[in-house]
Amino acid sequence: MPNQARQVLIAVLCAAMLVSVVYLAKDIQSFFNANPAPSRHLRFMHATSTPPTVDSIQGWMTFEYLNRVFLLPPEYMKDQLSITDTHYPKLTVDHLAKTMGTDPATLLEQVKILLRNKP
Amino acid sequence: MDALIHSLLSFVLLYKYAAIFIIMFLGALALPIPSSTILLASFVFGSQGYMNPWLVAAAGVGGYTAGDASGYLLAKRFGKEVLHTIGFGRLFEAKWFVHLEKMIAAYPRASIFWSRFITTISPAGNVLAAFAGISFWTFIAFDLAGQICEVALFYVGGTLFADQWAQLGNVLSRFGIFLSIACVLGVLLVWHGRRKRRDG
Repeated sequence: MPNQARQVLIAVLCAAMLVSVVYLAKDIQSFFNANPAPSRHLRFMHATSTPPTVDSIQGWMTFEYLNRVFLLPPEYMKDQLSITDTHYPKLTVDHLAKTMGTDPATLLEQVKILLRNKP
Repeated sequence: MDALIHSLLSFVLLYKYAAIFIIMFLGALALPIPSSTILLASFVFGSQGYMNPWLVAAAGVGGYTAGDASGYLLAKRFGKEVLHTIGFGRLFEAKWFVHLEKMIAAYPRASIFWSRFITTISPAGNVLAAFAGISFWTFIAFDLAGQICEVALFYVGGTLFADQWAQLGNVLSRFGIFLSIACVLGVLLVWHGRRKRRDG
């Protein structure tokens, strides 16, 4: 590789590294802002089971997962949402919304309400 | 990328350890899959009681190692032949490539072990290890050691930062990109320095 081409490539890589450092610093800052040190330590000490919060539920999650981590009776969601799909509980919230012809965001809100009011 | 991550997460929730193995295998084979993020999330699912963290670790290490071994063996058997056929034959004659092969052959254990931590370049590391003539068993031994250490770090990250695993995944991805650029730059600077000394 000619000397000049090598120098240009080195300069480009240095610039790319600088850009990646800037984005990395931003990501690290927002991560630590959302996650103070004392609560991290406590979470690690009691790390046997850390259930997610209801607000963190997303459409890609399956009902099997939700039943397990929120300790729900297996048929609770099926009965409340009138789910007839035989794949339940191995079914994502988004997939159920699609088969029911419902807006995924609406169904997700319904699921969250059911989780908040769980037996 | 978010849509891909969500699909893969659903795949893991549905098929658990088999899904983890497959995703890690494909990621190690150089397919553009966010395998590190998925493994981190899998450990979060483990910390929440949905999966067994030990089995998550076994599937992760198994998938990564199987993928790395496959990449190494494919490169050893077909690598140069295929690259010649598609017009990349000159690559092997390039001085920088020869220099890189010699560097890896000179430090095989360290090269293989440490490249496991930079998932963006580890597939290239598998190919170079094959081209540099490193024995399969040396490759597997240090690949396995590196993968076990890397997966252990993801276990700690997924357990410690269960609530912010997605943000941690972003940090790790960007750090991986930074390290990859730093590695390429490092090799280039060493080579450039040697060329200057030789020419000067």
